[in-house]
Amino acid sequence: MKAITYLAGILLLGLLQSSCGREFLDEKRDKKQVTPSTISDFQAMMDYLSIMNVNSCHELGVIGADEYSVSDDRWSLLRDPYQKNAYIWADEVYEDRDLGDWNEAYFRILYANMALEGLRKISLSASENNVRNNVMGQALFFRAINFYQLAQQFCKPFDQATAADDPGIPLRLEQDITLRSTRASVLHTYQRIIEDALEAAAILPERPLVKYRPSKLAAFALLAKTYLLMGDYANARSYADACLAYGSELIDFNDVDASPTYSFSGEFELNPELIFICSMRNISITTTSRINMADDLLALYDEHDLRRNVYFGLSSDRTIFKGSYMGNSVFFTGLARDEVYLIRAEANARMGDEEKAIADLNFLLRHRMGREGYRPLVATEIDDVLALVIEERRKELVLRGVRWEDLRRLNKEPQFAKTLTREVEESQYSLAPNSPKYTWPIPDSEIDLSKIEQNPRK
Amino acid sequence: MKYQYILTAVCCIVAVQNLSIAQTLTGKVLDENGKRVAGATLSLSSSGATFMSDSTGNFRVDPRWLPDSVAISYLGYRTVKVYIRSANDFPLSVTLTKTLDELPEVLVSTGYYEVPLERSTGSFAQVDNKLFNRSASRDIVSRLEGVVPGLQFDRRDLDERGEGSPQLRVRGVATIESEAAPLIVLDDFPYEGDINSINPNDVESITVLKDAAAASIWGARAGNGVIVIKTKRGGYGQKMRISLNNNVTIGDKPDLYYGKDRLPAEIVMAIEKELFGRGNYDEDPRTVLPEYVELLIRQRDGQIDDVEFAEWETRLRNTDVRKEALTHLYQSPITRQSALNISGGSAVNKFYLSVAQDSYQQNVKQDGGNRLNLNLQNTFRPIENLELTGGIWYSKQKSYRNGISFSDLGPIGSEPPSPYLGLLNADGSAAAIPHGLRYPYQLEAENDGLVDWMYRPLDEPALTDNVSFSREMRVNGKASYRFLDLFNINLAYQYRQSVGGGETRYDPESYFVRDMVNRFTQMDGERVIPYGGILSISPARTNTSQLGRAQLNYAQTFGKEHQVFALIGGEVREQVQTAQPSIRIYNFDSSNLTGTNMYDYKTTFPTRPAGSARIPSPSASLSSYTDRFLSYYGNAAYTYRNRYTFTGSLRWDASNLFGVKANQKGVPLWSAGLSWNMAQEPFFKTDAISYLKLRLTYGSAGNVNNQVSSMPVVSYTVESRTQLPRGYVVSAGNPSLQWEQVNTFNIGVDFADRSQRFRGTVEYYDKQARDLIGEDYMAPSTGIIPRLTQRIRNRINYASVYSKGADAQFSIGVLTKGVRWNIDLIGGWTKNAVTDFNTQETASITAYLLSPPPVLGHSRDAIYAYPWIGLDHSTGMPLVETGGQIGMDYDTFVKEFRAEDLLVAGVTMPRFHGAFRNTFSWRDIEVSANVQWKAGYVFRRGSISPGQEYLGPQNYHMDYFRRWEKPGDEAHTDIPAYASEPNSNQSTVYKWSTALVEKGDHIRLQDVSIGYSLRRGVFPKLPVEQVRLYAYCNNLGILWRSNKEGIDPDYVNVTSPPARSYAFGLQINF
Repeated sequence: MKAITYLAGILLLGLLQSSCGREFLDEKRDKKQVTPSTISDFQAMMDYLSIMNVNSCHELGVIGADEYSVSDDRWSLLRDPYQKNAYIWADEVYEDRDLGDWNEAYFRILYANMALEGLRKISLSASENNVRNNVMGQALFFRAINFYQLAQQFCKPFDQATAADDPGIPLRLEQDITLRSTRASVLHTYQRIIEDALEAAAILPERPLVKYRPSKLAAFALLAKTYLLMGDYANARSYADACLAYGSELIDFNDVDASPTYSFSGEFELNPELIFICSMRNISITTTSRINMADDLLALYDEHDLRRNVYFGLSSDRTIFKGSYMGNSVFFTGLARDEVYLIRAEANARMGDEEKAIADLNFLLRHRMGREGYRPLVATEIDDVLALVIEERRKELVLRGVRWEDLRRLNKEPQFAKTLTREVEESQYSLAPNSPKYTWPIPDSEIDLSKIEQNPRK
Repeated sequence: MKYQYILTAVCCIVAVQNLSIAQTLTGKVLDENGKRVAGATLSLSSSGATFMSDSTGNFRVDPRWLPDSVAISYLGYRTVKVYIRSANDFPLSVTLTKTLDELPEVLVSTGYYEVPLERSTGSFAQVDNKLFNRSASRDIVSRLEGVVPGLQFDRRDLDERGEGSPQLRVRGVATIESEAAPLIVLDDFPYEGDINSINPNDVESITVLKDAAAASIWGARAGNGVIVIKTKRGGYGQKMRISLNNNVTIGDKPDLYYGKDRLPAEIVMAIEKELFGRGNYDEDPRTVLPEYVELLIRQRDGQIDDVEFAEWETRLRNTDVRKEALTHLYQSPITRQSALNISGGSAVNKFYLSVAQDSYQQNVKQDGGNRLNLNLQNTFRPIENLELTGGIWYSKQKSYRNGISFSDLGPIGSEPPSPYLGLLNADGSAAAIPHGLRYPYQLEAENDGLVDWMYRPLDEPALTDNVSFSREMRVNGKASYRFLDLFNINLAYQYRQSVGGGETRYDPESYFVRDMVNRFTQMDGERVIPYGGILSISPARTNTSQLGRAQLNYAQTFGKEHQVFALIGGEVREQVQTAQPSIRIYNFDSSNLTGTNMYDYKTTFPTRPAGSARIPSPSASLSSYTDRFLSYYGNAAYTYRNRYTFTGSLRWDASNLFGVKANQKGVPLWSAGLSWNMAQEPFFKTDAISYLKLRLTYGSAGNVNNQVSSMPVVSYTVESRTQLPRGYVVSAGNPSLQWEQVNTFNIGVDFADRSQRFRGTVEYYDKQARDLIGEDYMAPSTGIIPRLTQRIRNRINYASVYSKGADAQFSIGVLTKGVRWNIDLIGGWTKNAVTDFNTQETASITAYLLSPPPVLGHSRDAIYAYPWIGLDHSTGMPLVETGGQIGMDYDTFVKEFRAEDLLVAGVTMPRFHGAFRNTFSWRDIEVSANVQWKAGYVFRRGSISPGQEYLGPQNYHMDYFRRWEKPGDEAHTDIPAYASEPNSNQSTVYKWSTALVEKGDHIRLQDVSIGYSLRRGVFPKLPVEQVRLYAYCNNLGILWRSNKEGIDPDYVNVTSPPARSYAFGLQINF
């Protein structure tokens, strides 16, 4: 009996020691949670659209641009200091609060970096390589577009002469959160955007499963946008060409019913123009109960222009915006084909190929003007094709986050420079061309914790 | 149900098998005066049989046990050892002599071993069977309140109905984000189930392990203290004992007038009339308007004349919704408990068997439940030195909740009901009340081809059937083998499974169904949702755990001076928790169990009165959690000359919680202790004191946080827009995570005087909780952003919290002859402070006011408030200081106020607590009353805000009648005057100021218990051994409180505090 007991004891302790050892403790606690390690894990991260495709980094630019105004009483009721302050381009913008534009973009960049590092570690067969490349391309694209968006708010406008010295944004390229953030130069920032977008374009499929996912077309469109900002019109044109080569369709506004609260449908597959979906929150200052579209913008549309009614509606005495491609109050800030046409038109105009520029404009306008009122433009009858394209950009890309970027880059050309003004509670505020205030300050929490250089306001 | 029958059958068979005890020899136990001593314990040394003398002092011995020596012990008497050669020694009589200088030996259990209190070094607080049974409550936990020093009940998080379990705190706090509740150990195994499922009649005693020497053996889970529950057992050779316990508890109806967030009908009607005059009411079908406003609208629209209006108005003014609710919705809660237990044993086996059945009705009509417990434990000793034990526990709980409570009468959501709401029509039928949608809109429903849309609260209980249940089964087995007289090897295994769930059946006529049908009725009259019953089954949750343990004990005495006790062991434990998805069936017919779930859940349908929605679909969410632990432990004690005891323990734990690196490491947790029995020293010559022991311990225990991971972790859900799986990052991963650690220093002294009338313990402790898991802040560009919705937190081991305090317990026998009067006093003092933590600097003031974050240097229980200056002399409005000026610029004040300038207005957990228990007994009558005291803490009360009663009923408060009305009032009130234009900042500076922070100090008479026993020793004709009659009155009321508002500081935010209850019971021992 004694022997049996000893034996049992030894056996049990032995069991505890060996079989219950490492494997026993390696069981994961929550079945729903995984340590991301497979391609589908990273795809699932990229598919989290309420992280990856919303709250894009455009709020400050939309607030600060010249597309709308708000009345004094609506302005004074705003709760968020950054909205109040950004509207009047104040020196102190955030009053120590956090900033969504900055935070959410870097949050997505961390997701992209985690996916990229994880995907590189996976060894797989050649057949799986395409699947991996697709996810890797998505991650690269997400990183690139977020860097791009951040650069439009927190870096000086790209200037070839000073880009190597102007401070850019922190380029987070690894998932290790313990690494200190430092600011790269503007040049490096743009180089990184292009590098990531090019790599993405090479491995992404042409047709994504859903338009929330980045595609080859999206990467081309992003490259075209980036080169346009950098003044590299040849590249802007060639990537716009590359993008349009895969499809040229636009929505015909003659078929759009402008009577509902929002003119466009939320069924994105029905909108052939969409290339990549991403949106910006409709923040308090731009809600339909506050916003009043700018008179000088509204004055640009002629009587046959369907956009006047598709984009805008009336709410009591104010003109409100109802033309988001998202089909609701949220602003579309993703990539759509109309913008690519306008990029190509501008690049052609700037490079002297006015015929081609007008051809693209005509194609766009045919889809925007009433069938009766549409008259094709003729290049030879126009003094300044470029000015026409620039004006068309403003009319077409309303509240898409693009206007702020255009103001920044066009201010360098005296022909297009514009001084913005606001009147709030009997005070006059203005934003002069090329003012340092076209570069928003970096949020205080970032400065406090990583001690990077702040952008000057004066 | 099937289980119960099988179990009952098994129980009976086993019990019958044990009833047969062979022919026996009889002896008797006498005291010095020749009186028979009942209840003396006899234990045979070689057979190990233990039994007791009966009420006539007789005991019986099986001749097969002889020869053997028997030890006869009785509380307060010297133990006598007698050697019995054979049956010829009978009849035998043993005389015991009284002892005054020896303490009765109390064994305390840690779950791994039992140790005589005398030879322990740690801090143990024991609640013995008698103390435990002073209370007649259905549950175990509430019986511990006010009897254990250092154990606090935290009721700050109870919901409005006062429901939910209080959180237990053993000696302050030792964590920030992790589990803060003490570990519950039931019959030597950690217990993760519902403690309310345990039958209190099965409990023998409870021990609270408070310091490191006592608790460290539990390692990584002992950081918050350990509560060890020991259940009743049979004894070898014990005569069969049957005990039947029956009681009924009747409570008062709730006090609905306790909460002061209300105004009388007259005032509310005046407010509503004024608001109506101002055009404040939006006459939209979606907006529920109060009944009186509807009346005003009908008068305005000429639907009723002035006479009818006046009649209605008077009727409303004279109706009191609380009175209505008390009459029609509430009842006296009644709980009935009955329990039967049988125990006994023979030379080779012992058993314990119990059955208990409880049922209760809540104070809300149609709410209640029941519980069934079965318990069977059997121990065999097939050969000498080997003991095999098997046990089965089964419990089944069911509760139903169909009643309508006061808070269900509100128009929508959590809005309170109008004070003039009536529940009956003039003809006595159930009245419809404004609820969900506008009343006239609902009235029109039937004319629009919809079904009746009215909400009649009194009809509802009969139309819904909401039941929730839980079942729990525990099975365990133990084998214990003694060898070489020194060693004892124990193997133990336990399997536990609990299943819980519930369902609601809605009758087609219930408001829930009718409302849903109408909302989804299309313009063409098509019903998207069928007009039939709905069955909604909530997710079934299963919790399964298994534990295996092997342990070797060693005990040896060298000569007369050295005693050694040691053990080593290993333990492996797994707990799996799963949840199934919920189910919803429409067009459900409960008579033939048909229904369907085939619906179009994707289409968005237009709904009435406005908007659009999808058909509510059951969730497809599943979950499964697995917790695994692997532990090795050891404990050793050495006692020299019964005077000096040294103890030490060591434990190593690993789990699957933290991911690979930490698992491999594990963390050793240890303790060391020393005790000195001073009164045993030769130099100790004081006659007054017979027992004096000093104790000193130090050691570490751990705490678990299962929300963190060393690896990056992604959690999966489904993206509704794309129907693709989506993953979000829960944790960026931290490879160096480990247990939180709590280091406790304890010093204590136990003493008793020679007469044993005065006994006590005083202890001081100092707890350093370090390596606490907390969030650390990083630059947002890292992607670690604390305030995003789907954020990734960066949790690391870095924070620390410090607690210190003292516990004391005294027992004083004031009178001992005739009437015995005993006073038990307990007291505790505790304080804590966060000593390392990074509070987010940008944390908003609102966060500090609503749920304060941990702040360096402040208590975890700190409460923050705006400074309060007082009211303005001429306007009666709160004064604030802005830019060095005292004035009333609230907007600037609030805008410029920084979180760091908030005042710490106190702590919300009592720094001092105590209880004072008096017990009087005379012959067989015993009366005992417990008075509890709490002090050194504060709470925040509600009040009005200037003019805010015009913004909605949630702002009503009886302070309306005590507010500033004329200059000079500010001398005696802080309640601001009426403001015609409410300003939210003006309200903020008052509502969250120190003016509304009240002292919580109070003394309450918690309970009184009265018992009377009839014993066969006194009444020889009694057909049973003993009959005990008892009464127990609980929640008797507050004797003194510091606040003048009539608020019970333990129940600040509830609609009504627990009402008084009276229990009457009868216990019969056969």
